[in-house]
Formats: sequence, structure tokens, C-alpha cells
Amino acid sequence: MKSILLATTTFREAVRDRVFGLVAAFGLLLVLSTVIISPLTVGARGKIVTDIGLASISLFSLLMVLFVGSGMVHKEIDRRTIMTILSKPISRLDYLLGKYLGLWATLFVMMAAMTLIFACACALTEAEWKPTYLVALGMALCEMTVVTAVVVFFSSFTTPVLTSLFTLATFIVGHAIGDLERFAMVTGSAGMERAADISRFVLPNLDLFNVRNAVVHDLPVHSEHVVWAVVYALLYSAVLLAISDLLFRRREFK
Amino acid sequence: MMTVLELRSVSKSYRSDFLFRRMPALTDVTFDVAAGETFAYLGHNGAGKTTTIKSLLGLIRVDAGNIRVFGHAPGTMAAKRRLGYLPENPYFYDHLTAREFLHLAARLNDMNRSDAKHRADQLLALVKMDHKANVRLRNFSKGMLQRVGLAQALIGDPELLVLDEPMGGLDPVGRYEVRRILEELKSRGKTLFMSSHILADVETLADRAAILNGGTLRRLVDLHELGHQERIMDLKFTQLSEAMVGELVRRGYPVERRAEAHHVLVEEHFAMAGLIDELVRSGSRLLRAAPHRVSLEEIFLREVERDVGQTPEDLLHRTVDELVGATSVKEESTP
Ligand SMILES: Nc1ncnc2c1ncn2[C@@H]1O[C@H](COP(=O)(O)OP(=O)(O)OP(=O)(O)O)[C@@H](O)[C@H]1O
Ligand SMILES: [Mg+2]
Repeated sequence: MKSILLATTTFREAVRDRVFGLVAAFGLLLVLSTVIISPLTVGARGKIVTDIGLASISLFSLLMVLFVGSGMVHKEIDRRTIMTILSKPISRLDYLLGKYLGLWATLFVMMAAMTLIFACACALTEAEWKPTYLVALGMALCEMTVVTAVVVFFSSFTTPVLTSLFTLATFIVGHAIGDLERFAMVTGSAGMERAADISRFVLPNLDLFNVRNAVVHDLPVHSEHVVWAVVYALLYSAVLLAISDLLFRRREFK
Repeated sequence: MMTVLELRSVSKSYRSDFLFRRMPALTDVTFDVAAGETFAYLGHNGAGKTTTIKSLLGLIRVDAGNIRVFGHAPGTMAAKRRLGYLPENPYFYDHLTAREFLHLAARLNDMNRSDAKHRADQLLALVKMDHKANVRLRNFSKGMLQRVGLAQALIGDPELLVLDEPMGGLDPVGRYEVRRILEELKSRGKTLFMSSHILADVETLADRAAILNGGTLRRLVDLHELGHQERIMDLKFTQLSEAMVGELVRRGYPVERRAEAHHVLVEEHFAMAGLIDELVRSGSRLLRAAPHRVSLEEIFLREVERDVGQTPEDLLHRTVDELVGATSVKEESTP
């Protein structure tokens, strides 16, 4: 219950710290891109708008999680706010969960706002708004759910700069796991296979959440795939948060 | 009487950044604080006060020794439910208003929504910040944050208050007000553990004081017994000749000149009558002989001085000399 209190506070801080400036930036980018590509042929234009729209919703969400998330815990340690909070009857797990949920709520509201802008952009251009876009965006939310847990994990024991770097690295490698596996298969190298195995086991397989291309090009997305992705996101985040708690519990606040 | 805080041979060192050496911050610190007691924790900058307080809260782990808070390990829920903590130079959320922050603090202290609201307003009034209730904490001054900090520590009406420099950053009025609040808490039987640099405040408030020096506990002082425990007489003379002053100093008597008179401190039974006789015959007049009340400041300085091997005056003069020496002022005045 107390994690909800801290989540509300985290959300409020983020909002009042003008995190949603990013949403405005997203809107601007979308408008600009439609203006720039307007000389293109009618059919291609719609696809490009949706492509850019969906991709930048993911990108801006990632930026938000990286920038807000990495400083979130550390700022409180730096300013000793955390000492006041942790001297109250609240467990360290509740604290971490509060941070996680607060960041997630910020993410959710931000993605919802961007989706709305995107839908408007679709309506104003000849890009067609399809309900399947919501599936792609939902999957992007799942992906960011995992990335948020990664950020909280790293900030439970390292500095903000390292948190950003490690999270970004995890994000990139997490997307390359599929490629890595294919590469290992092609080369037949045992070492590569092993590397692929280990990274698949440790790192989040983020490619799982990428159905953007399929959606834009009207390819089918199977419901089993979606269900599995949601379950995977929840499980992965839960395990990561549990490990974060173990690390955070041992942490000293000097 | 019930023991609220218990420290047994507590030691803590920090790793200095270079060479992985560990610098001791606390060494073998042992003391108890009883329920209802006001306990002052004194020491110079860097003596280890904050380190001790963080250990009490479970924010850092000690290397050796044992700490109990209401009989529980520090940092456990059972311990935290019964205490309120004010950190030194507190800093809270930038974008929350004072009222929102206190509301959060109250909710974290297991209060329901309406109780929390009520309690937050009550405490804002107590620390005289009600006129700033809806201002974001980012716009608060140091002293205002200190007041909000005190309010959040008191919010759960805890039995034990751990205050790291409660008077820090406060103006004279603020200090007076906080002292009144602390007095009131004390009269309600709360246990107060506070670190402070302001000895005058401590002297009027505290029952006992611990003097910490370089991480070791030098002395526990019972402030109710101050002045009675040391049997020293303060003899006040006028017209004491310079030669006589020199002679007294040579014999090891502390002599202090205040305005027109000289004060000579003598241990009560140590040839006091003889000394008075001698001085009066040398032409000076005895104005008053009174028991000397030892101030906490004196004890504090004595403890610090013992470690440094120099009197505080020496130190003061030395630093002033060094400072003056660094400028051209001295060069102009020497020739
Ligand atoms: N995070 C830290 N890392 C390394 N050394 C530290 C750290 N915090 C404190 N110290 C050292 O531990 C010693 C005690 O510090 P502490 O903060 O407890 O002093 P203090 O009595 O509270 O001083 P002040 O009156 O200035 O607040 C000091 O020598 C300090 O340099
Ligand atoms: Mg301190």
C-alpha cells in the first residue's frame, strides 16, 4: 500500500518537473515530419506517417524512462530525501516498488498522450488509423515495462550515468538477441551459440515486443504471441525487481 | 526505567576513496538513553554525530558492536514505527508543497487520509509554516525546510525523536520556537536524542550530554549535576598587581581578567584561605567568593583540547595568525 503513496509522489514529481515536455516534442516531430514528407506520393505518405509515429512513441518513451528513471533514485540519495523516507515505517521493497510504479504510471500517461496525438495526426493526414496500432503500442508499453524494471534494477546499486548506459546497452543487446541467434546458426560457431544462449537467459528479449512492422504492413499478429509477451514482461520485471530489492536492502546511505 | 536506545561498543569506518584505506568514524561507542530522557550528542564537526544517528536508523551498518532501538534492530519496522527523524540540512521533494509532503509523511506513518490531512495542518501551524502550506518546497529557504523537517519528524507523534541539529539554519526566533516545541515534547515524556553545536540550547534542554571527539565517546555529562560535581571556587579580586597575576599563573592557578576585576579559580579545599590571605596582604581586595558553576561549554572545550593538545585560545590565535599572515595586513603592521 505504501508503495502506492510513493508511486503517486514520484508521478507527481515527474509531471511537475515537466516531463511531458517530451510529449510536446513528440507532437512537434510528428507535425514536422508530415510537412517534410508531404511532396511524396499519396499512398507512401500514410505508411511513413504511421511508421514514424509508432517508432517515435517508442523512442520518446525510452528517452523518458532513461532520463527520469536513472536520476530518480539517485537524486533522492544525493539530497538525502531517501533518509527521511526510509526512516518512516516503510520497507525498502515498498520504496523500490513505489519508484517503479510511479515511473510506470508516468510512462503510461505519456504513451497515452502520444497515442492521442498520433491518432489526431492520422486523422489529419491520409494515414489510416487502424485498431491494430493499439496492439503495437500495447506491446511497446510491455517493452517499456521491462525497461523500467531494468532502470530500477541498475539504479538500486549504481550511479545515474552508469544506470543510463547499462540500461541503454541492455536495450540494444536485448533487441539484438534474435540477430545473435540467427548469426550463431549461420556461422555454426559454438562460442556464438553459447553467447546467444546466455544473453537470451539473462537479458530481456525485447524483439518479442516489436510487432510494429507487422502491424503497419497488415501482417497477422497472433494472440498467443501477444499473451506470451505480456506474461514474459510481467515475469521478467518481477524477477528483476526481486533481485533489485536484494541489492537495495544491503545498500548504505552515507 | 526503560531503555530506548542502547549502543554497545559501536564502531564504524568509512572507506576513503584512495588506497582502499578505511578511516574510523566511530570507535567503541557505548551509551544508553532512557525513556523520557533528553540526550544531547555533542562533538566538533566530523566527530561522528551524524554517523551515529544514521546507524541508529539502519541507514548505514556498523562494523562492530550492537545497537538496539526499543529493543529492536535499527531500521526494522518495529523500531521505525516508534521514532521520528530529522536529518541534518533536510531536503525534500522539489515539486511537492509543504502540505502535500507532510500529508505523505503522515500516510507513511500509517495514518488514514483524513487523519493525515488534519495532522499535516496541525503540524504546519506548530512550526509556523501554515502561511506557506501550498508553496512548493523548492522555494523554501534553509530554515523553512528545517521547520518542515521538524514537522515531518513529529507527524506520527513518536515516542523517540532523533534530531540531527534541530536548530540548524534557524534564525533566533526560530531557535526559540523550536526550543519551546522541544520543551513541550519533553514535558510530555518523549525521549529526545539530538546532536547540536549550540551548547546554550542544549544546556537548558538536555538531561544528559555525551561528548564525542574524533569518533570516541569522551564523556557523559549529567547536566543536572553540572556545577555541583566540580568543587571549584571563583574568587573575584580587584587591584591585583601584574606581578601577582604572573606569580599566580606560574603556580598554576587559572586567572581570568574580566572588566576591572580578576577571577582566580581555586579548588575549594586547596589552601583557599591561605591564598586569599596572601592576596589581600599584597594589596588587592576580595570582592566575592562563589562556587564556580562549570558550563557545558567549558567541559566541551576541555575535552576537545585534551585531544588536540592545545587550548582553544591557542588554536584560535594560531588560525587568526595564519589568516593574517596570508594577507599583506601583517606585513604593513610589523615594521
Ligand atoms: N560518506 C562518507 N564517506 C567517507 N567518510 C565519511 C562519510 N561520512 C562521514 N565521513 C567521515 O566520518 C567522520 C564523521 O562524520 P559525521 O558526518 O558523522 O560527523 P558529524 O559529527 O555529524 O559532523 P558535523 O558536526 O559536521 O555534522 C568524518 O571524519 C567524516 O569525514
Ligand atoms: Mg553531522
